[in-house]
Amino acid sequence: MNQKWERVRMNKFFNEAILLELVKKLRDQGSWCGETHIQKAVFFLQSLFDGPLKYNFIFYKHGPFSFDLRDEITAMRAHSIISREMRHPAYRESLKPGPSGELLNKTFSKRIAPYEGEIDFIARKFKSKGVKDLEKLSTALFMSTSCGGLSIEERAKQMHELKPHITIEQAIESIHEVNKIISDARKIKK
Amino acid sequence: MKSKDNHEIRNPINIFSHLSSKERMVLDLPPVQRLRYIHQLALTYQVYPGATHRRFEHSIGVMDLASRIFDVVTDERNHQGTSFELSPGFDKEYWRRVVRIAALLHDIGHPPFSHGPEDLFPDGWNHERMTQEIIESDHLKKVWKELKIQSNDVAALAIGTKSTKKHVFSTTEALLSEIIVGDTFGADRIDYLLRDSLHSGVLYGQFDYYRLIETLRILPKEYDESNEPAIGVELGGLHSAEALLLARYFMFKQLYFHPIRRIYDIHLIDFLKSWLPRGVLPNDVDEYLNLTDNEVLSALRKSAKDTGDPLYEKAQRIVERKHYKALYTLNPVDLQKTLEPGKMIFEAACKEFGPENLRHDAYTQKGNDVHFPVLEPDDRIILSIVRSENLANLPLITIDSVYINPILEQKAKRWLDKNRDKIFESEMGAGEDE
Repeated sequence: MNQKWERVRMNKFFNEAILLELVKKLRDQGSWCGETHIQKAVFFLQSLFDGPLKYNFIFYKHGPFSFDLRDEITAMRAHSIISREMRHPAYRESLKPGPSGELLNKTFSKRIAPYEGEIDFIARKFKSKGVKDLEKLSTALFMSTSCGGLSIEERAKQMHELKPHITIEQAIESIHEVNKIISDARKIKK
Repeated sequence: MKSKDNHEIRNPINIFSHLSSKERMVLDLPPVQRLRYIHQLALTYQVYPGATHRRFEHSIGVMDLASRIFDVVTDERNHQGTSFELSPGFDKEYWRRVVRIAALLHDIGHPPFSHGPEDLFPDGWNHERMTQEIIESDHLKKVWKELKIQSNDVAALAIGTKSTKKHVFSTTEALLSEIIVGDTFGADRIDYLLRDSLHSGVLYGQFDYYRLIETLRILPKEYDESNEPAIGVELGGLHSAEALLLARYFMFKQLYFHPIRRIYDIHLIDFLKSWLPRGVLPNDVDEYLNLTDNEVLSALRKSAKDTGDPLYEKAQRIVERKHYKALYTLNPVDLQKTLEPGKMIFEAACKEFGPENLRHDAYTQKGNDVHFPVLEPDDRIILSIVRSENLANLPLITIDSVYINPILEQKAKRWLDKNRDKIFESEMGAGEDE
């Protein structure tokens, strides 16, 4: 196997170790930890910090979504690194560490240690957020990163145009909340 | 006499597929006709002799099924009881034309032998990007005006979220793309399972797609505290949806991931790496379109006859069926011991027998196709895996295999039997942190 593929392979396991840590911390904080929670949490983690995760996100039906990340989560399930459980209320799906998770964690614990603070920050910010809130916040962050030069009102208008079910008032509220998260993240970086 | 505007094509699975004169004009274009010379399942016919069908008939089949799905899910009578409607001002006639052409062209960028040599695209390229390039090329330019549709709409739906250029999808675009290339109920999947099953004789791939299509609906995922719309089914169609997903599971296990079928893909890549200029597929559209299975098969047969040809041995493995044999296939017990059992055995075997005599093949299922909304008779919408234990427990597919040169097969099997535990023990814990 050439060096390029060896790097890809090791990065894949390292990325999975980071995702496993995120699953653990989200659950520790009381998050529902469904796949949408992980999608949005990873989008924030990637956007706010210059960490190792580099999943390709597109703007999909309800905000940023990564099909690469979705495939990674499926692969982690296939290898028993994470597993799913159905939880009340409403029998919704939640993800939890799986039987092989410990082996992965043991292998990469030192390498993921420098990112613990950032993962913890995201888990604390997202602990009680439901899917609808996460969709609004991640859409607001997507608009902030792609329309940097626009005012809050202009960004809110664009959000509403792209996703008409989000009202202008909700969009402005979400942009303010995202600005606060960005500002708090800067403190973590320092 | 008025000229005919309804052309029928007999096609296994769909029986009769209908095209308008303008659609037939697209069908007759050289980049579409090229698909007559691309085997749907690469060299699978070396294992299942009937599997000689081509991308051409599959593309017509997907066009036919996609328009049937479109008609069902956009029928206003089928929106009753749900809160979802397609976007205001939705031009149904326009988008129906786009869906049909996008479905016809969705595989237009496949290399020779379909998915087999996908890894031989230059960096940053894949068959989806090539599909986009061909759709936007001069080869198709003239038809967009005739058909009164935009090429970028066709590309967005034909490639879906794998597009390298499009990063923002409207809800309508996302849903219409799901009709063609969606993970769960995409017309592409429905057609390839049925068609591959028919031609290979692997009957696991059959399911009641008539019932399935009739019950498809666009539904909001209310169970996820969200109103994100997705293609789901009425409860009455759940069994046919289960049958589709079980068919997929069995087809992967029995056909697509058949170990000998997979090693033929690897031998084909070995040959193409040496045969193609610079060892990669061309990314120039014209050069690319000149390449089909026919050119490769001709070269393979020529090399396999000439002992002095530098590609003789690589060609012989395919033409004379001297393929490598499976030495190790993934055992779930081994996954509890190490993250990559196949790779560890491959590396140890390379040291013992030489890397030229070994090949490693690893792949894990992508997507999350068992998740979709189900419309209950009382209008509630619930998650499929809550309604169906079959879907909740459907295993994920992963392969991690090692192959050995047939002349070393018996010796290598004895060696592995003796050393398997030692290989895992020596590698366990020797990860990044250590």
